[in-house]
Amino acid sequence: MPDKPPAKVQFNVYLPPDLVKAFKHRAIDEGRSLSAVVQSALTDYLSRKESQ
Amino acid sequence: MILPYVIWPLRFSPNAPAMIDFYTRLGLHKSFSHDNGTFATFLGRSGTLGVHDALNTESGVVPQHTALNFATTDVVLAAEELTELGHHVKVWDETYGKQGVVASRDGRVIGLNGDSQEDLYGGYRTHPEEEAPSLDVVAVCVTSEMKAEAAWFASFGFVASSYDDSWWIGLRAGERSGVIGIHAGEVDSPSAREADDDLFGPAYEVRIGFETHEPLEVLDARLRDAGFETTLVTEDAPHIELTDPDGERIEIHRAP
Repeated sequence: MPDKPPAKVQFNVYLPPDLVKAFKHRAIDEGRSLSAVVQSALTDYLSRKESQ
Repeated sequence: MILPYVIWPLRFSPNAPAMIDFYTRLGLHKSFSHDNGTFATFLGRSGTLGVHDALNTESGVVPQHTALNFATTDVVLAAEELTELGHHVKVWDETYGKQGVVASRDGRVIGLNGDSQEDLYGGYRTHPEEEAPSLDVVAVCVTSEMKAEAAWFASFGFVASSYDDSWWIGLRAGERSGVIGIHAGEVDSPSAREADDDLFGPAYEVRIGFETHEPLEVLDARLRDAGFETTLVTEDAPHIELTDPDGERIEIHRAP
């Protein structure tokens, strides 16, 4: 059987409305959920920081 | 206070453009859609339904299955209200607005969605109503525990005039709510969506049906004129049968 994906948790933060809107529009452009796009952004940020 | 809840069963279809065309020709009003034909919301005379491309979703749905959702005016308020009533509810942000889920009696989840979308970025559009839709949308829930299941939906304002029929309990929450039909039977189909984490439990599946306020013979003739292949069943519980492009059988009964 394939491994079960890890459980997700909710993560509430306060962000500028324009940034939230930009992320929503990017998710629509990519045909992905908002959570998936934010996850990609956070993962990319951490990867860049860790490689510096 | 109970917010207004309207049924919004969502079909995850491998033939979304064909299903959208089917519901349009059936006489529902396409009120909101995406230009690429992968998503549409329809208004019935009462109740709503949706079609979503099954190949373009991240929630692990199984094509051809239909998940029950409620549309309401404010998902956050709905979550607060339902939590106070003892329900297990979660809400999060999606591109289209707030998305919620509420756990049913057995842990399957029912979606909570806003009844409008202000940001039409990316190919979404609204459609003005040109002709009043003629059919009431029915979400058919099959269960072996009819009275308990029917009673659970009272939290959403859905009640019946009688709970004594051993085969069918029709629940409404006002003129615009659509119908939740509690049907006697055993659940034997696989879930539309397997639980893959704490957020997405298995979906509360329904079958889509309709009720009409016209005589069945009149509606049947109109549907045949429109090119539908129908069967008019006149015995026992008279109804019209037809098959949608996904191969699912649909029944249209007279509204009580």
